[in-house]
Amino acid sequence: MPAYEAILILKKMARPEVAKALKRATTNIFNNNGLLFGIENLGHRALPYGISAHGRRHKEGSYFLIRFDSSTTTIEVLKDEFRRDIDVVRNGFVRIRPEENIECTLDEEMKPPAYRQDVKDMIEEGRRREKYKFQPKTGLEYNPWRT
Amino acid sequence: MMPIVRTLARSRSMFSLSASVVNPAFSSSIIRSNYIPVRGIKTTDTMHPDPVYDEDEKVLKKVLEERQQQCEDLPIGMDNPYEKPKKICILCEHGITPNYKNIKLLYQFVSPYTGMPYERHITGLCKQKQEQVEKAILLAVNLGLMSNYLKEVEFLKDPKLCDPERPFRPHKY
Repeated sequence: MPAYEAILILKKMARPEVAKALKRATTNIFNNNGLLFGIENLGHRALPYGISAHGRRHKEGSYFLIRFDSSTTTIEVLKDEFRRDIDVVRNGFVRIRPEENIECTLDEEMKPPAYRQDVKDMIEEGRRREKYKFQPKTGLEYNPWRT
Repeated sequence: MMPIVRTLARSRSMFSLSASVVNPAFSSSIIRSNYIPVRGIKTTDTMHPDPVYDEDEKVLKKVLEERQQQCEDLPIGMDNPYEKPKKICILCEHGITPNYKNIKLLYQFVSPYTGMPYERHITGLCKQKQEQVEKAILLAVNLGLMSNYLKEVEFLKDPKLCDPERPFRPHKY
């Protein structure tokens, strides 16, 4: 099953209520055949911008990170559940993929344009287009269209 | 056979009259076309430098190695000893992949004046890393982790990676 990370922002509440909201979120994951790996508390801090949710404007919230595995179809169900939860200010899911090894191409990009491979390819493509001639392929020696 | 020859002769004469408006695709020895190619004309005198092809150096190296085996007095085929080390962008150098949770790193590529991510000529990242950084910033902003219109006060004193006054490549600003 693919790995996901859910970022959950809960509104400013007392501690027992925060625990209840998290419990609700995790039971939703369990009910939909998900594997929970852990919950991390990213702290209670001021939001970077004001967010309106469920008829209220929020300026601060508690951030939580939930790491879990689930099938791709359950993410829609979880999104729906979070959307309806009044205590949740904002929710989001991120699919965790393995990191790819990338070769740095900065050296190639910093060269002057005449020495860059992609510019050379562009010039060649331009030249190819100019040389294109319409091939009538009529099999006749003369021009039947008189142009 | 006779009727075919006559029709051909007629068509030839017809085409020689209207030679100026002939289709270049049919330019053959029968038809004398007045078509002038417009694109191939040289309009300026500027001479562009011949690009240095890496293939030539490789071929030279091979040839010199072959000849070295025959006669010992020839120059040895070796790598260019004066070749400068290849430039690598700062994230590739340290092997860092930007993550949407690491907002401190992402804010280093954001302008403290506008709150927008800097372009590639200011950050000095390679194309793929710049794309990764921009994607991570967008994700962080959408999830409510990062601001989209300013750089948070706690991150303003961080080490400067991007200087818009001294970009890696010239810009019009």
